Amino acid sequence: MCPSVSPKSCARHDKRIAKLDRRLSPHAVDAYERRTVGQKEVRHDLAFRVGDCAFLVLIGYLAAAAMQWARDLGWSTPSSFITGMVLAMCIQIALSFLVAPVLGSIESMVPSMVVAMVVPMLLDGAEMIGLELEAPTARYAGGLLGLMGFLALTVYSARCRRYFELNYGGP
Amino acid sequence: MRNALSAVWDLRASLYDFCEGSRLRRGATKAELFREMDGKVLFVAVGTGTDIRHFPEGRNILAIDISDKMLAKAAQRAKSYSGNLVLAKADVQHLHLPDAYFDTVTTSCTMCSVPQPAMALRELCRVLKPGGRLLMFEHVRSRNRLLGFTLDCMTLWTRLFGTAMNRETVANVLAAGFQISGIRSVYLDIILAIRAMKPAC
Repeated sequence: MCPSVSPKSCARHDKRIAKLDRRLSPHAVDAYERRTVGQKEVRHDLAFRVGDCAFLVLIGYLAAAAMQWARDLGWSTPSSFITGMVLAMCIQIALSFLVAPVLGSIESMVPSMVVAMVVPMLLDGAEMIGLELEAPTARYAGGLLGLMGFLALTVYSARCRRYFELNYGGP
Repeated sequence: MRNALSAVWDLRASLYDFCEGSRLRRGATKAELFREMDGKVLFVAVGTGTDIRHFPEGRNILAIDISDKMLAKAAQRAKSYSGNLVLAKADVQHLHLPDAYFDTVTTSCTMCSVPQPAMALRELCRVLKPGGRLLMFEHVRSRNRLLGFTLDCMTLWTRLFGTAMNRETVANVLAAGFQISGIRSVYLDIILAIRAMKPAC
């Protein structure tokens, strides 16, 4: 079966298969097909990982910026905290809907909501213990927390795969 | 109740393709799962038919949905399917179909949207032949506390649009009498490809 997407690349792929078919054994053709599909899956997977990572970094950065903006309003601590959190959530939900057709609705919505909740809380917590960050530093810290969130998800993803393989068997 | 549910999904039909349009990411996994559809197939909650492109060719499929508007959109996509694909309006919780009729039952992001998933799964078990296969592509509640809590929070507002993000679908599948033959993590422990079987009597 042709693993390519566009008709042009599909035709090219079929041509290569036919050429191989004439020269090589059926096993070699099978191996070529498997390799091509495998390479494509790896490229896809890598592209989505980069997309997930960039999205979480962006959400972390913007959540920190939202909290910073709320603080700059000069309201009482609880009011600015609630305003910052709500704003961070609104930004996260809006951006998640925008990237959903590419990254997937669950994949973009769930982890980014965690980041959008945790980043403002941590920044506010840091301020409460006397660690007040300047505006650009706070935003970069938010981005860094988004990156850390992505790394934690990567580890958890591997653990999930292993858990299901061990407990329920593969497909 | 059934009419209210139908109305919610009629409303969502216009936005459904945009929100569920991540075929780029999930398409390959769905196609791999659907390739195992065999014999008489019941496809539950076909929606606007975005999954039809992932159906293997030449199958004999009855695809159902509760929304007329979703089915109208799906009908356009069904024309391009090379096989026997029939669309029909039905509620998975009350299927007017004979017992032990289908060889394969397939669901795709369905159990999050059914008001009573345990009842729906019992119905699916009823219409499936003994030894028949249940193939599910579903999102479920995470076992991780933080992710699970997030999904619970999200459910507070997604429920208004007919979707619960925190369903314990694996437990419901087992409770309905199926035997799970394999689960593959598609995304963390939130999106799963579940393969189950109705035990032969």
